[in-house]
Amino acid sequence: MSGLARPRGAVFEDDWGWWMRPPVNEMPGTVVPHILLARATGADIYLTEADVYSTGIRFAIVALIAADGDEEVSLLEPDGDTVHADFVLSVEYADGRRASTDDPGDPDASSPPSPIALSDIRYGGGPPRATGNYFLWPLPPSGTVTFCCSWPRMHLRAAKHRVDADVFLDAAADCERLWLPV
Amino acid sequence: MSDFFWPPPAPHHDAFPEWYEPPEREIGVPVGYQATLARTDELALVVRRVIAYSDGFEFILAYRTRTARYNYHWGRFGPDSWESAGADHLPDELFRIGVQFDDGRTATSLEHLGSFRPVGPAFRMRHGHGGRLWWDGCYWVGSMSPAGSITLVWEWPVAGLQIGRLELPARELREASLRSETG
Repeated sequence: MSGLARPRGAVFEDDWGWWMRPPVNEMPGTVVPHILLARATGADIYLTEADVYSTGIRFAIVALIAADGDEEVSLLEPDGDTVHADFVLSVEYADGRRASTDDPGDPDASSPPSPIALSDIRYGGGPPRATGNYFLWPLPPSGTVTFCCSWPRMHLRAAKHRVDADVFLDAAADCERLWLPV
Repeated sequence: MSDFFWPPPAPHHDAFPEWYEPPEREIGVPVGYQATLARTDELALVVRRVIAYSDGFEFILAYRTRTARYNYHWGRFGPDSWESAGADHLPDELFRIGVQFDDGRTATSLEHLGSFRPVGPAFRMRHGHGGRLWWDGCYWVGSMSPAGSITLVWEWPVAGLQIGRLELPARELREASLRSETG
């Protein structure tokens, strides 16, 4: 993937790592319903706020955590600089391409580290509601998009949820490019 | 102690009052609604991702700008706050937005939320993220109008946006609010 060109017409505030964030000259399409990805012991895990751009999908993972959950283990934040020791999210496209938060690749790479990339944007909150935000590049092909969550300390191991890619591709059709690069 | 002065409620430094935030244990019910407030050669303002909760709703105000000619955050924070200049009028540079219920209650982005629940809806930008050319601000309206219209009102003179009004889908919001459940 070395030297992969930045998508034409898409504007980024910083060309470095453009595959890790959405273009700034687009108003995204929206996937309206929340999607319940998994039920762990003491936590429901949802995919919410899915905004679909021409280059990929920005979405949130929200965990609603039971009142008696252990605050020390229930955050979605990475445990360490580069590895998620706790909550791990992976995504697989119908053609077999896969990305995971536990394999983020070289953060200093000048081109996407793998055929698709799942980048962490930011985290927030804590029990009873923890949120992680991600950007998934590029858009999926037709077929099934499989989300897999594991959260060992919440006793959740590799829970898979399949979503028809058309959910995202239909929203992508609503994405509007507002203006061309200056 | 007189009948007038009483110790106020504890400040919400550690725990927000219930009207200050959406209920933490609700995931909310999205209302499939999006509307453009403004669109010029320079900027776009869009209301999107409207989510109803049992005691209010939130929405994203998505701001995109082609050249950053106007500062969406002008005067909002810190020592450069528009209030600190002692202005007795609203500067043209200041973007403002508010909400009006059918019964006349209003709230705007200019007011401060204090210890007491406001008479009107609580209204504030809960959080946001963005950069020089974009901002997605998440606004919370901490009450649901029991009947009638819910209207957004905005103004940003320096950017050429005179006062504008938009009726949100109030009935759909109320119906979705009733379906919002605790997780």
